Amino acid sequence: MRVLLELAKRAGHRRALALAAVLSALTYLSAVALMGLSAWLLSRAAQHPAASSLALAAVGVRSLGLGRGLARYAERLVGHNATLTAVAELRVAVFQGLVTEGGQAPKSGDALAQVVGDVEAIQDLWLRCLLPWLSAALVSGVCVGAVWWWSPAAGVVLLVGLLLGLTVVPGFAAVVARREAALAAMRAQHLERVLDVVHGCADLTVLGEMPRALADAAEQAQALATLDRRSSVRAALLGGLATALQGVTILGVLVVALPAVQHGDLPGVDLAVLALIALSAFEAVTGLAEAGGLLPRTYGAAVRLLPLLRAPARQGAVPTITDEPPRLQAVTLRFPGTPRASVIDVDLVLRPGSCVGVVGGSGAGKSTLLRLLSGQLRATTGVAYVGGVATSGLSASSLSSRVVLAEQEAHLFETSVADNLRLARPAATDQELVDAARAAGLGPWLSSLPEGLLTRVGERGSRVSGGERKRLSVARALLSEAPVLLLDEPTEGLDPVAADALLATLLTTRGSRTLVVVTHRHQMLERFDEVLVLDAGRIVQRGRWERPRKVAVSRTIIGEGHEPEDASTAALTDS
Amino acid sequence: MKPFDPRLLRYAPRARSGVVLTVLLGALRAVLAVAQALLLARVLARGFEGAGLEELRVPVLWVGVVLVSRGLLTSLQDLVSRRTCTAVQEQLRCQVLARVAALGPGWLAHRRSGELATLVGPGIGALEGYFRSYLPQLVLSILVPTSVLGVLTVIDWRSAVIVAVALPLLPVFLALVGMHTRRATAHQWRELSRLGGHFLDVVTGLPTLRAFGRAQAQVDVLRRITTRHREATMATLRTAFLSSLVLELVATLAVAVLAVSVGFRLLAGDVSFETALVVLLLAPEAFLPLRAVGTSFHAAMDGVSAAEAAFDVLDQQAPAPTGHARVVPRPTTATAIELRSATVLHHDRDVAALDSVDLRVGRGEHVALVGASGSGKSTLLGVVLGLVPLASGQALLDGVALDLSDLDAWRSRLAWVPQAPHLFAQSVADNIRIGSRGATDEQVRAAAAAAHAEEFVLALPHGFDTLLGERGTGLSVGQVRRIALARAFLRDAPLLLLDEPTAGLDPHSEALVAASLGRLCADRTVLLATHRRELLDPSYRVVELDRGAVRSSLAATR
Repeated sequence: MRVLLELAKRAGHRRALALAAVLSALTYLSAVALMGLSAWLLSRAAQHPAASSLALAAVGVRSLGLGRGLARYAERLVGHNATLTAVAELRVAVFQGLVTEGGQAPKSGDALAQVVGDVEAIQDLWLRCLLPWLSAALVSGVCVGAVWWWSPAAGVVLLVGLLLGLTVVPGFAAVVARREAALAAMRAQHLERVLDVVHGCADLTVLGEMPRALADAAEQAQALATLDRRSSVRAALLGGLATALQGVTILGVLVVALPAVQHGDLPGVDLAVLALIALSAFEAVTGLAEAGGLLPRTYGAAVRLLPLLRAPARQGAVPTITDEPPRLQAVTLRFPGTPRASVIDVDLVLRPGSCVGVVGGSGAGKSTLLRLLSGQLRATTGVAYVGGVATSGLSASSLSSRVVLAEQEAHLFETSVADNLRLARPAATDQELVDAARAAGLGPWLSSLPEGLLTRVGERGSRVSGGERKRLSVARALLSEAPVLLLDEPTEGLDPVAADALLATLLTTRGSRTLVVVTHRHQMLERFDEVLVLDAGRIVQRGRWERPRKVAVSRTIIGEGHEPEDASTAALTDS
Repeated sequence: MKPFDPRLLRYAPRARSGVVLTVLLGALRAVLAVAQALLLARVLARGFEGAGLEELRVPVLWVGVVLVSRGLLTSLQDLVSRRTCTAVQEQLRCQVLARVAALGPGWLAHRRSGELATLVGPGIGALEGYFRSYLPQLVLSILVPTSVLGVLTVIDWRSAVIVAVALPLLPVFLALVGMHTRRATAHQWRELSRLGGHFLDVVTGLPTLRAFGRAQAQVDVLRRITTRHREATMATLRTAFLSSLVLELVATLAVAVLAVSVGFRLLAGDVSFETALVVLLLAPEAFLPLRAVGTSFHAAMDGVSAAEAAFDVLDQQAPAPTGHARVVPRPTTATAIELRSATVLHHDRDVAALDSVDLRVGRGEHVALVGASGSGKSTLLGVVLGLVPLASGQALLDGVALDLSDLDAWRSRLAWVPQAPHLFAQSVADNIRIGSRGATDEQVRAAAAAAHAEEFVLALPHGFDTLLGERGTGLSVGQVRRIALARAFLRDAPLLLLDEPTAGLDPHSEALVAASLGRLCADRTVLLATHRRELLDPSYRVVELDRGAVRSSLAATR
């Protein structure tokens, strides 16, 4: 609860949210008043007074008929506006937290997407949890007060009933939702198995496993159905809980009020009024089942988001950086939860203006090395320097002014090609963009686009193939004004001719910049000043590259293969 | 789109009992709604006259019973809806799956598997809205207003007239407002989803923004865009909420008018107090289900259209098995595979994917199919695997015509390494075990070692027990290929079909895959498709395909 309160405190526009709650309460109250006043009108009419004594009530009833619809419309607009404003602020605050925090902020795409989902969930917290509950509490308070006025005993009965409704209904809903969440995880697992049959249809058919896969899926469905049956009873009970509570409360009110009328303690005219107020007061409580059901999810989201919001801005003076190139000093990096370190005890100084190739098998630590050099990853032990300052003390913007890394999985934003490229240099002219794109081998692609540089790249860059995406990332790196460029496998997925052409262009267009390239194109490595060979996180060889000697491997169908580790280590001469 | 597709009852028999129970429960709930009003009016009217609790004990108790029963019935309805929903979803899923399996990969190849996956997953999942809210509300929205009107006609026909006039106004107004707003909101939603997606875009792109030092600058852009998003959303909502405004207005105004009119007739002595109370209590009940059915309509229709798509798949006729006597091909002939004028047509074009191809693969022979992509290499492999039907010509497996032979028995003697093997959401070991279920852990490990897969598997978080698939650990193309090779090693079949085993691999992985392939192919009949003929071992007979026809066949040079 404290988490939700802290989040509520952080929300601006609390006044607007409160106004929405009041308007929502007015919606329910106008329905309550309509029924109550109508009951009074009928009861009074049954005493056959002069018609004039009913005129005012008649007008009241009619205007309440209008009031409910209008109050509801206003409530929904005010509520949505306040919520959207609060969520907009939350988005900006969370993004600011992600930008400044760096250290503990989630890095992977999945974790970041989770942050986005969490912010959406918080929207439900305002609009569908807090607002309905506040409004139900207000309605309950007013109704209990009104009934109390006529008959304190009936007021107590209604108070107990509504209090139970305000607590038990959402509470039970939260419990049900938590159980359902566990079941939902199992359902997702089942769905995965089902989708496996669709996607792996050919494999299963040919390998004779289809009947078994179908039987497995059916068996899992059976098990799931059994669990489902058990949980559905609980969930279904929730559906009728508020109505049953309403029934018991009305019964209580009648039991208290009927003798009071008989003994003259309560005017007969008020009996129906009391009963109908009590009856319609529960309308606000019935909706709380949904509110409670959303609580576990929104609570989880709030717990995950708060650390981001609490993150203090980076303090202290900005260190001055020099022209010194990136340098690693006894750097070891071990990702939490992995059996061995990805990079072990690496010392490396990049000579200004040199071009360095990095080779090694998959998992040798090539990408990790590049990300350490760029300051995107922090060393577990040892120090990484950029511009003479430890990267841990540098902000993203001062890092990026010195060194730029074109990653394997570059993000393309849902905007034009030009905007995606200009990210690297906001002041770049169109011609500079085109030049960079051409250098990255995107010339023909660019001229095939319907609107050239202004073509929008679709959702998550989906209108762009993997190869083009990689080349765009290279173009970005070329555009940037950083003196050190790190390129992670820019040639992967390209055919040999295109790959060599791209590497050749990179070597000429880099000018005086320092270039570090992870590549498998051994043919081109001769043109690099230096080649690092990585194996299991260590630099095992470095120096100039020479044509690998041919290692004959007997009886390979795709003849003349070479065992790569063997070949690459043998190919180096120490410098 | 129909609100109810009769195919639902045919394909999901569990829906039948659910629908019947929903209608019965709906009728019961309508009766209880009327009973509550009658009983409560009786108690209140008699209490108004001074009757005590003693006198009213029976009706008061009944009021309690009816109110609590309404709660129980709501629960019961929810239970029925939930169970029907899960049962129907499961029946549909299993049937679609079985039908997909029966139609086979050949049929699936002409569809986007993503579409089918969406249908089986979230599509059928959307039926929840249909069963859990729409269907019960639809039943109530017919039964409750009619019973209320019936009762009102008997006890006070003037009130019945007012309700009868107001009720049809709801759908009419709803349709009118809907028609007016739909055009206004349609293009707004597109803009909305674009602006709404912006946050996801910049957050997932944050590492890239940070790499170029542009993250801080995006904060202001984000602020601007979220503000625009809010303004655009509010503009849309202002119109979208109009329909509910109209609904509320009509419903509550009708109740108010009714209350005032019956009040003045009570004053004049035309109706009794009890009747007037019944009218006041019943009127809101008549409008409630109609309002609810409107709100659940759109969510429900998503499920209905998904169900229709599922029915369309189920309506597909699976190819009837041809030939009654299934002949089990046995390796007795010298020719393992033979194609005679084999022709395959493209799915949607009148062009041949294979154009009367003749090919013989002898036992123990290594044959390589080469040619540019689209020349028919994979199609030929598909024919031999029994996945792609022949338009004309013949395929013989061990001397038995394909359409006469028992495919399962044939397939049990071959191992297949496809271009993009599927990784199942199971452990690495189980993924290797696909196709040879009985294999021991030692055998799995040995197969992995032979395929040069053991080293990277052991480096995974849980070694051979690491979960793979969409939600599990991701593997590189080369690693996936090596898992498939391990499958083939474990299967130890005399016939080997390989589709581009080294395409798209870096030199390191390529060398490893090539090395293990060399071992795998020894002493086996091999049919391999590749576009890199320069890398082939001299033991291969090279068959070159060009636009579906054999262009040349070169004998092995060794």
